[in-house]
Amino acid sequence: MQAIKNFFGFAGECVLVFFRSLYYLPTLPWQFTRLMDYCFNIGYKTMPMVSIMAFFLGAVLVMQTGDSLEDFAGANLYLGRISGLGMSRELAPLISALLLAGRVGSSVTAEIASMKVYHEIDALKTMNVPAERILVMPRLVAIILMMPIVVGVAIFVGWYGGAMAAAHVPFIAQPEEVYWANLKHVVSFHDIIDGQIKGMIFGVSVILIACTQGLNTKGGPREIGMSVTSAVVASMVIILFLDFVLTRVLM
Amino acid sequence: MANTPENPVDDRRAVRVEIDRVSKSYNNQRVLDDVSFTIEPGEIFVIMGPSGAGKSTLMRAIVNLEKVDEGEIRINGLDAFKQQTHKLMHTAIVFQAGGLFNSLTVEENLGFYPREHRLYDRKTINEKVAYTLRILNLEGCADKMPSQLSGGMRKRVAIARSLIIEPRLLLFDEPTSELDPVSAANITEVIGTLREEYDMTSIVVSHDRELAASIGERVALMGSGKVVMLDTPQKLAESEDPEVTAFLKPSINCNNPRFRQNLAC
Repeated sequence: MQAIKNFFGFAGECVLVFFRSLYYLPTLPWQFTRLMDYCFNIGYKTMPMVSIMAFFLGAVLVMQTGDSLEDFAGANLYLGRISGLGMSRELAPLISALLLAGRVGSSVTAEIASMKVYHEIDALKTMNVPAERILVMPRLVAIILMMPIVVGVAIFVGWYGGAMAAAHVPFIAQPEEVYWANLKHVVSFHDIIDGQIKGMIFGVSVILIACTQGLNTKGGPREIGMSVTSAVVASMVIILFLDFVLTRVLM
Repeated sequence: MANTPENPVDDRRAVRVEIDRVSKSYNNQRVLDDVSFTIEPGEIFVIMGPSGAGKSTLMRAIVNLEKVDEGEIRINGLDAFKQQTHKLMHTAIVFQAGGLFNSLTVEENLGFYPREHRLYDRKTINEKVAYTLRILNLEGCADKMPSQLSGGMRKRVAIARSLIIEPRLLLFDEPTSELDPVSAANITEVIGTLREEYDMTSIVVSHDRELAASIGERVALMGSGKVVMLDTPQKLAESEDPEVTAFLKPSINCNNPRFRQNLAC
């Protein structure tokens, strides 16, 4: 019972932090340097890892389905379709968000939690500079700007990984042209937009959870560590739950 | 409300702080119990007391970082909580650990408030930062990160950052704690001389009896959430009250066998 109460309490705080952050949106033009810094950290630095994961995930997806479809004559022609829809609608936004929760979410929570513990947040309050204005709102804008790029890169790299596997794994040996033709025939712009919507909602959730958890931290170094763990676990659970809901809604 | 300025917000002079029957509890434990006193504009007021006496809680309540359960804190006659006086009147606090932004250089720390509030253009901010660094003898460390500074330097930077906003009320939380005697004396001197430069009221929370005696105009000695005695440092030192002497002139129990071996009791 207490866990459910805590969950709804935390969810409510996340919503409050979100709306408080929106209130400070007009101050964004003054925080351009900070926004660029967050964009660099959230987007650019996440890109190499997302690309590596997406490439191998696309390749493995094609190998696994290629192996399974071998029993059905001609079914291998659908590899492009499976990889195309799977990556764009589901896997690219999901792996990008999970990686973001681990890499960016943890560092954001650790940074804000240590600022809270070492009185930097108190100093901000006495200076009449709310934490939501400089620590949360620019990060939310950064994630909204960067997530489409990260997810877009993940989609295309994943497709390319699939094409490589289809062409070069001996038991599939499908010409790349066939793979791409099938993919282009099936995947529409709408599928990519679905993936982008998912990615953006996942990203906003990760940042909100990370910031709220950081701002709620009390105690010392041990509590900072506990906050980081809680934020990452909560982000991953929420991502999977939202994935289910959004898939149903967007279908 | 006597002596309250006609315009309590826009008046740029030091503020009057009234603590009126303030009480606060954490988990059913009373940390502030019906505390009342008034701090006059421009005064250097020291709050002393043993750990857990409620000094820091009271100070955090004055700058709105804590809400009190009962009573009222008034700054220039305005309710500190309801009217959010820390937003209306320039109020700053120097935290025990400094509260510096560790990801910013000393110069950026000092320029943070005017930049965020867009108070002045870049040139004026740089001039103000340079001036404040100079009066606190910090010119050489403008480009350093807080982690590269000694404890005493960090405290001075924290004071410098507070001065940038030209405060009307400046609070110090244990400014000499964790410092060697030379640095502690230096910080005490800085706090004592700031009034010559800035028109502000200073509240200093400290365990340091020497600091209280040298710069405090009045001292409130707190114990178990209450004000035990409020007077000048001289009167406090002369007091025969057992609660006052227990804090100001603590003695080691010589009957304790652990001490008897090492001390010539």
